[in-house]
Amino acid sequence: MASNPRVFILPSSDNGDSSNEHTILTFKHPNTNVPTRYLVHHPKTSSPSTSSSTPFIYEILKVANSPYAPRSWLIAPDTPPLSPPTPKTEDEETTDKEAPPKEQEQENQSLIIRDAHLYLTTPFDPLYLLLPHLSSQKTSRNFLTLDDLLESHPESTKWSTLQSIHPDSSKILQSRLLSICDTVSTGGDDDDDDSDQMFRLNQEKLYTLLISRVESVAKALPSSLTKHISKKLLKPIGTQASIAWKRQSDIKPSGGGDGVINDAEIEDQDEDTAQEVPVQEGADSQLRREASKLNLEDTADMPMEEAINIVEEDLLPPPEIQYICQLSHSLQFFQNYLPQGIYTSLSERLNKIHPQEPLEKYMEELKSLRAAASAALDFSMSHSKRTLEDLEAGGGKTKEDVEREKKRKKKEEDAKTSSGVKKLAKVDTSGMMKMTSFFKKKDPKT
Amino acid sequence: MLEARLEQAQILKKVVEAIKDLVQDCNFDCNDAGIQLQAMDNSHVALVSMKLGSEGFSPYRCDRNIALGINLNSLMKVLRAAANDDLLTLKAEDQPDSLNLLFESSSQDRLSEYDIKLMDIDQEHLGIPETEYAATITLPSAEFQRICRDLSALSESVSIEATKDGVKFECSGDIGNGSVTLRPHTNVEDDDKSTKIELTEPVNLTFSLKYLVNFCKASSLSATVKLCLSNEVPLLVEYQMGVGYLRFYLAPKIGDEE
Repeated sequence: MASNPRVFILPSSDNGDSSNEHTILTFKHPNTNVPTRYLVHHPKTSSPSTSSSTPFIYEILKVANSPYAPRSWLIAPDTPPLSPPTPKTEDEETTDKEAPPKEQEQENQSLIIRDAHLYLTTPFDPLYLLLPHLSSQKTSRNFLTLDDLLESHPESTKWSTLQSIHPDSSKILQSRLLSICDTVSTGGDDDDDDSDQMFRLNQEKLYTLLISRVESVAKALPSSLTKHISKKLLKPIGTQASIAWKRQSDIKPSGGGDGVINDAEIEDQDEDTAQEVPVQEGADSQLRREASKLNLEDTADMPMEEAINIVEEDLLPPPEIQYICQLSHSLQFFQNYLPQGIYTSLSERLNKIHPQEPLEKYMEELKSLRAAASAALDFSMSHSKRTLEDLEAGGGKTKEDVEREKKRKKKEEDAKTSSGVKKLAKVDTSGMMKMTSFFKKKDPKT
Repeated sequence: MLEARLEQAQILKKVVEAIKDLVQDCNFDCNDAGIQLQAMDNSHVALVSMKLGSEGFSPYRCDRNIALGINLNSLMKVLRAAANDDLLTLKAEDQPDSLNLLFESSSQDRLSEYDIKLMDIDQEHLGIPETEYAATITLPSAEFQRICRDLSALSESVSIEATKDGVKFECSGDIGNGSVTLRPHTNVEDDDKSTKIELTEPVNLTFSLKYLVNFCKASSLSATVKLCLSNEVPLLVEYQMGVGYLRFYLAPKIGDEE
């Protein structure tokens, strides 16, 4: 250890010196089955406040140093100045991280650690470690005492070590088990006697607990994450065009918000599927032209960011949809800690409580909206570039617009035209009269 | 309801192969007389007219006049799936939105079935009067194809001059000029290899070679081809199919020689 120090953020303890209260134990990871190290925190003075919620097993998380921005730790003893020991790194950004533990007892011996990995320890519910065993065939049918349970556990030696270094752990484990197990007390003489209680996994209790956890995580997701999630669900038209659209709907007081846009675009889409190509193109280009016109006239007098914010708020999905999304995100966190079987039935149960249909429906809708919008956006991008180049050109149909339409038409035709027909189109037919000048039209009914 | 069975799929295959480079979409008009087709190219300087008589099919059933609007490129894609001597059955409803094609292999017990989506094509029909042509030339279709191909390497257009002595195909281009003259002759053994010229008056007309080369794609339909020319009238190139015909009309180039 001393030869290769690491920076840990450890669970705090009541008394100052905590170095002897931590032990690292290896358990199989409940999801991957890979042996994984967990930190056990066992305060020597067993405080009377030990309750079921007192964490004692900690997950070790490594905040890895990016290989692209090399950093290192400088660890200095916090002697004369009373300033908190701050890890100084090459990069000043990291100074706001928490102080490393005072492992350096020798005074005046500063230390540089080459790899600026930071190890975090976060409380870990021991239930997750027990779950694979609890739900396995052998144990799920019978009532077992905690001791029997741990003894039959494939890693029973680890558990006995745990009990020996942290005597309180069995008490805590029992109380944790209560929340997901049916219990039978055999002795019946004394409730305090731990060994008398026998446990059997209760699926209902387990999933109720898990679901409530998923829900609370979903509600407590950090804003940076929720923003990221809802951004994915934003309705299309993000920038220039959206402002134009927004403006347009403002101008027409009858139109309700961005509903105007959506309707127009959905119609657009419908026409497209009906293969009425000319009509569709006509309508499309008209819409675009309007958008571009508005783009030119109106955006100038409104601060860009303000406008974008307004638009983005309008484009946000309804809150219930956002919540469904957050739920599925939080469910993914749980996937890491649950055996596959439990995870799948958990997600099934969750789907029953919070059906996914509205989200799927919304995504469908979103897809079509995006498809319709991308064309318009595409145009507005190229158009805005152009207007920067020559503002005086005005908002009419640009050359690019015409070309683009031509190209698209051509592509559509290409699929159905043989090469011969294309070649013939290039033939010089000057001096050749049309067939209609030789042969007269017949009655259609002959 | 249309149901028409063709002994050999290759007839329809060759017809479509020949005209698909001239016309993109067209109506196959089905009535009790058979299946007919008339269409112009995009520039409206050429016209193709096809007839497959009902006697060419067995059985042939068409209760009502049906227009099958088909994209020929799509039809070709499906027809390529048929072997030349497959039995081909065309089926369509009275108001069809698709045409059903069934290929039956005679040797192997293989059935393949395809449906092609139809389209509405607004097409005007032109009345083509029976014309007495000044010159009618019958020659082996391979010969005509070769002449057109050879001359098209030199020039865009060819002048066809028909006289009592023979027919002269002549062209001149940037790299030089060339001509091919065919004299009438009769092949006693194989009449298909004869060249015949019927003439009421000499004619000399100029035509676009690109179009003629295009028409020649129908050469496999028939051993002979008939060229009919008259001044101020489109050239008629006719391939006989036994059960029908495939005719191409091409407007002459006027004022090109001056």
